[in-house]
Amino acid sequence: MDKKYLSLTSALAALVFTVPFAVAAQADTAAPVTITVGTWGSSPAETAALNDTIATFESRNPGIAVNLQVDTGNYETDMAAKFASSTPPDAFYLNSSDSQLWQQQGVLADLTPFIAASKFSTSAFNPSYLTPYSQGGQIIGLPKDSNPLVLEGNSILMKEAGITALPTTIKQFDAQAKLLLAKKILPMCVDADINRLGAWMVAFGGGISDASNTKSLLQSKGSVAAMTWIMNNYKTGVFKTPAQISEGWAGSAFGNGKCAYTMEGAWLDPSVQGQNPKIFKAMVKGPLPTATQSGSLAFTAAWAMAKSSTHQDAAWTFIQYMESARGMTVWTSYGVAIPSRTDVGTPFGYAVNSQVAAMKTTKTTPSFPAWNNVITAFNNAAKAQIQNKKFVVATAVKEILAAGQAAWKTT
Amino acid sequence: MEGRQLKVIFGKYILLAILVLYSFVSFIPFFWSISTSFKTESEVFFNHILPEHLNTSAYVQIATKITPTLYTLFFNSLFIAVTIVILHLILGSTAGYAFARLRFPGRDVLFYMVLATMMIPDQLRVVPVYILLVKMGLISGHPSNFLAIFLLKAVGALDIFLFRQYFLNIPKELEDSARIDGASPIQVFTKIMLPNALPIIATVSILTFQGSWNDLFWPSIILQAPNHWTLPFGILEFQGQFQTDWPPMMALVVLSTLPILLIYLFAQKFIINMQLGSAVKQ
Amino acid sequence: MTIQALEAHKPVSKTRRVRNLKEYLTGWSFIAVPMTLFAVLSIGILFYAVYISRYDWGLLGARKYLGWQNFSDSLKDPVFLRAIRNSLLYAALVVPLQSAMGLTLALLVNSKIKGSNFFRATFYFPSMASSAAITTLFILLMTPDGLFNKILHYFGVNISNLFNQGQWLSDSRTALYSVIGLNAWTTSGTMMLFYLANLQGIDGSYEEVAKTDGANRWQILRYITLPLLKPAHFFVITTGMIGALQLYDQAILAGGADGSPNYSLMTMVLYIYNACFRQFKFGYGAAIGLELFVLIFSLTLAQRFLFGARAWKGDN
Repeated sequence: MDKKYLSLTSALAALVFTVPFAVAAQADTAAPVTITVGTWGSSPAETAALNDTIATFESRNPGIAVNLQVDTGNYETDMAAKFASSTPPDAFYLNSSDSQLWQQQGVLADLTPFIAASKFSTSAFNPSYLTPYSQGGQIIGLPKDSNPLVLEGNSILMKEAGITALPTTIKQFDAQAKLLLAKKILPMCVDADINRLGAWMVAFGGGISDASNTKSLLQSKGSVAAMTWIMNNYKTGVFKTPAQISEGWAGSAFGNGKCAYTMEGAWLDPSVQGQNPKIFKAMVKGPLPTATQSGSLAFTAAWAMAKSSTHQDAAWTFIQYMESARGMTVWTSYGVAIPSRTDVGTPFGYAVNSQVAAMKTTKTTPSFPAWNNVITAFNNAAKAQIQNKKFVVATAVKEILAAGQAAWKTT
Repeated sequence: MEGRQLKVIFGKYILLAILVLYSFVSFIPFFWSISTSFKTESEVFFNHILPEHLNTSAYVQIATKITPTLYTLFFNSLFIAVTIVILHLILGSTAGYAFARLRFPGRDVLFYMVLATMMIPDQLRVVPVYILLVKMGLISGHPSNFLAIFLLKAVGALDIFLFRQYFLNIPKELEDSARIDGASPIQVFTKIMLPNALPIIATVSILTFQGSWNDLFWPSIILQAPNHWTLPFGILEFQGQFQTDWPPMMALVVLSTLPILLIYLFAQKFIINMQLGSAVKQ
Repeated sequence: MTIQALEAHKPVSKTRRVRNLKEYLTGWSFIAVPMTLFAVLSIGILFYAVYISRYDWGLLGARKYLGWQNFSDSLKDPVFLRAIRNSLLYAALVVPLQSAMGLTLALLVNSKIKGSNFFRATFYFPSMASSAAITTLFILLMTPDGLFNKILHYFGVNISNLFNQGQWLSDSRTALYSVIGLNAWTTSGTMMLFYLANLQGIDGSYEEVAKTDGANRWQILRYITLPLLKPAHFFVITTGMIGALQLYDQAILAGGADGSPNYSLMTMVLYIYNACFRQFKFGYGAAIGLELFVLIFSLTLAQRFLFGARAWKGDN
């Protein structure tokens, strides 16, 4: 048979067979599905980035229209009302600290079958970001991004004290703190908040919780050592809380040039830029100094799906896109968040954040239901100690960690 | 004699000085909002009282950059507030009168019920109320969404209480003389009680308008579509989790305080210029 | 027997009965709409709360029957006991303060002093803004470098030697008192308005009689005006207390959901918020809500008897 003839007939056959399907497919897209997507709004920049990412999704998936609802009020309250009335958005943000709590309430869809059916690979994600969302044999969310704590330094103030580079070890930090204090510069502004101080526990070889994200490490050797170092720093004035220096949060203290160092995530950069461009230019970033290991604490939020959603397939198509290398590249290119995938390029200006995000020793915050109680108990105890100028470090450490540990057991 | 006079005059000035000082303290929040609204973003963080230059970019920003638009937010706020004020005045004055002056079985128990409604924290009501509104089909992006707000805010226990306590004080003789002339309770209410209730009508109007105008708790849960949002939503647009854009936020706070100020200045005339007591005597 | 008492024992005539029935119907119809809305949106929810408070009640409904366990658990939680203490202390201080300030301001701007029109406008300013806006500003004013400390410094106070180093809102010993100061200040304008309205309702003839009898201004205030304002006092104190025991906005803005530092800003309603929305324990939240309800209701009843029948029923 003639080769030409063969290719012609096969092309014809292909045409005959595919046209009806193509028409059918077109009929499908003629009536697009609208899915509701719910998020909290953390800044106008984030909403803009999200809108652009959704636009690229819609142009690639003409069959699905996205109705974005950015929650301006209290996200937890509003979502509770929507879950209770069976009217949650189809896909929505899920905070890692809420993940187990919401899962326990039976309102989140298990993504495992969708992941299997679409052969979506989760191997590109840093495993520690998957942990909060994969418990009890289910995957109830996929990390949309991450945001680890890094060390930020004000090189102008550092120079004043004769410091040329960020400290890489605790020893260096201690030495630099002395130089800074001698020049009457506050070395570090950090709130007495377990969501900040926990990073030091990791650096000292302890941590807040173990790999399962549920078992407490608060009273481990490393954590006690970290807290002893921390409380000693608060006592000697190496650390100060933002409240002590008239600031709402450590980032604005840094942006006002009130401290040489702080430890925040990628959200600090746009804030300092708006507040004080000069300091933004002089800002240097690095991983937190190491005591026994290099490590940090990271925050993560996920895309999740409602169990009661009637458009689960469309919602999965959306989530799959947002979690793909392509979608995450668009989303993180605005610099409002750091990729949770290792195969997505580093956003401009966030190389250090990305490097820390990818470290195996960077731990996410716990996600079991009583975690909010632990935060409340730990922070209240820590602030109560610090307000008393004459606190004794050893007893303070003991009391703070015991308060956190006691709250761990409540459910 | 002279010494005593001096003392009186001296005392008067001290009193005046205290009043002026307190007015000054009272004015600080509004003054700070105005001042900040004319600052640049970096100026906010320096503790100068006044901006270096009058920078109007914050006002341009709120006029052009708010979702959906400043006009829509303002119109929605006004529509909701005016409707709720009217509902409160009608339902509050009638119920307040009934509880104060009409005799009917169950009056006191029902009034305790009114008081009881004020004792249930909203945090407890959110979820069941929301479920109810969803079942009624009032939670949607359609204009019927406003009905949910009206339903929830149509009556205020505080207003009923306020009207009741006020009507209690209106001299009984006024009412009795009308009754002897054969007036029905409804006529007594419209012809005697309401005209004498201007101070409390003005008070309820101010408080209700202001409460609705500043409320974000219920609207943020109920109003679904951005084109139904109200001014406090706009204020929140400038407040990020870690970053607050103070100048435009304060510009919007200043603009949204102005209507309350106007209404207060207008309505308080009705509070002060009523001399009911002397009217009765004549 | 007085004539009135005799009249009360007379058999009721038929026309009188018709007139009574007419009054009943008018009364009921005047309250019908509000009571219906209240029954559904508030009282109904109270019964709903009673029902769910006996369960481990999650987002999607009942999970387990607990009996009275939610109630007994709450009384074992030291944080909750702290919240009760904070709420009661707050109410005990803020209610008299705001009422006294409101009354004083109202009497002043109601008198014929110079500039009373001006003062009437400015005194209301702190009450005008939303609680969120005013609290945000207050937090700025009360920081160690804030305006408040600057004024103290001007008067020679050494801020860094203060027991709290000038950290009014972030020291557990002063945080609650700072919020009390804030709210006494911001609500005084509203209380002034209440008193102002009720001052207009007072029969001026009493004062005139007293004046001709040679009473001085203080005596008129003490023996005429203040007693005549009894229904207003009752209103201001009752509603003030109901509101104060539900302190939430300012507490969460100043101390976060944690009620930090050292639970000094943990209030009963903030505790309910934490139970419901940070833990989804709606049954537990409802139990706390009912405990709060019983507390407020009994204190309101106590006031009704403290103030006596005239405050409750007026002169008729």
